[in-house]
Amino acid sequence: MNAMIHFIDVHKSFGSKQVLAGINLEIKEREVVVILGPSGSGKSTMLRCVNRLVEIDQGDVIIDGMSLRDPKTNIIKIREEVGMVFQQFNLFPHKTVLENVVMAPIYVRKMKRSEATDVAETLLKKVGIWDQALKFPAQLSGGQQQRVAITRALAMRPKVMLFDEVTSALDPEMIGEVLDVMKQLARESMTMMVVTHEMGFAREVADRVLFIDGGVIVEEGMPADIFSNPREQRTREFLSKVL
Amino acid sequence: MVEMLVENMPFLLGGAKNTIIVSLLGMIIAVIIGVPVGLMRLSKTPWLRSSSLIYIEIWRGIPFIISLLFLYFVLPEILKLFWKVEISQFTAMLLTCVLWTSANAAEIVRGAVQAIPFGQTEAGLALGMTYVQRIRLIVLPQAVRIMIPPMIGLFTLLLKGTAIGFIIEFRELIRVGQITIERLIMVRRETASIEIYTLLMIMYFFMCYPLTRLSTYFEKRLSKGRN
Repeated sequence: MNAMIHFIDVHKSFGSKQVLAGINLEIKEREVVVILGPSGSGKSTMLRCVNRLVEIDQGDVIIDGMSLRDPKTNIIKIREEVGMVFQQFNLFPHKTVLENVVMAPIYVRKMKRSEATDVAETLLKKVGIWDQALKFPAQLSGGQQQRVAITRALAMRPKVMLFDEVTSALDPEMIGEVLDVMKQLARESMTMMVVTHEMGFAREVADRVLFIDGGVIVEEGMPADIFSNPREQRTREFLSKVL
Repeated sequence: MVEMLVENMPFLLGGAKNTIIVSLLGMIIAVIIGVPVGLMRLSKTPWLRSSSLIYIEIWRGIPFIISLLFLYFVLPEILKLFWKVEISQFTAMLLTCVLWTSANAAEIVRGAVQAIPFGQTEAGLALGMTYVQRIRLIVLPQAVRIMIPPMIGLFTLLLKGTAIGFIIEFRELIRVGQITIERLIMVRRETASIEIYTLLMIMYFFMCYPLTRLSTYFEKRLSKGRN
């Protein structure tokens, strides 16, 4: 199968601090990859490289055949194909739920408003928020807001979805509803990169789990192998703390 | 005395009208200039950033009265070397208003844009929006809410600041008051400075007071709407 995302020797430093120290990784189409690692290990930076929210210093990332470092690549085209969901939701507070969802399809994908609204309706119904579509984000619970944020990214019809600790800012009782949406998405064969601390989710949904520390991939494998039988000392230490 | 004031009221109101026209027009043009200059101040491109900084610092660093005198007395002398143009009192006054106010408006724009969380920009970037789309659809609509109270405050300062226009005989409220006093002395041998200056004070107050009320209203609404 084709590689949807291909990291080739990716390096990134912030000032003198090296955050990514040579990441090599191929993610296949429809694959769900969960990235684990202690804080500051470079997990979020790795995700942010894919849609160039963070510019890499060295190496390359190829997304669906488009190279990040190729000057001919239009970054907008890559971002159209790569949806992202953030820890802090980052919904647009001055726009209704519906407007949050249709904005990018209309202005970036150049969809007609009626068409974008159809897409929004289908997606919002699926995550159970269509009846709140005319409310403002601040009127919704955290879990609902995050489901809207996922919908906003999905409305662009991306080929890849990036999830950056999307349940970390939520109250515990709301985590489930957001994870359910992500599980559904995985079942529908979306290609996903997920940074999370939800080990249950990783075990259940991931095709592959990566453990990252010090800016390199320390270990990778099937979730069952990583969780029950980690090879590396650092992975064992990390898992013993979080499980 | 009442009769004298009523008699001169239309003339004084004419001065108030000029005060309002030049401040309002100055404010509108200043905001139109201030928005891009304020955004340039936050640009990643060094020459855009430094040129806006120079613009802002110059016009904020020069007293209103100096730029007014310069524009009215010095600039025409320079321009005369190249073209045959004249600068009217109104033009000099308006230009001074625009320069000073736009520099201050730019700083308000910069502050308001910086107050928008970076996550908003990131969300726009991740959705594939261009710089112009992000500014127009995401950043400015939110920043405007923050800008309104300080912009009203700036307008109040400008409105009061135009009083200095009397120095080049621009017929704003103060100048018109002075003319009235001079006229009364020359024509009727009446001294009316106490009455006229008191009246001017009241007139300025009633022009500015609604603005401060408006600013307080927006500030309250803003703090309520915050999540």
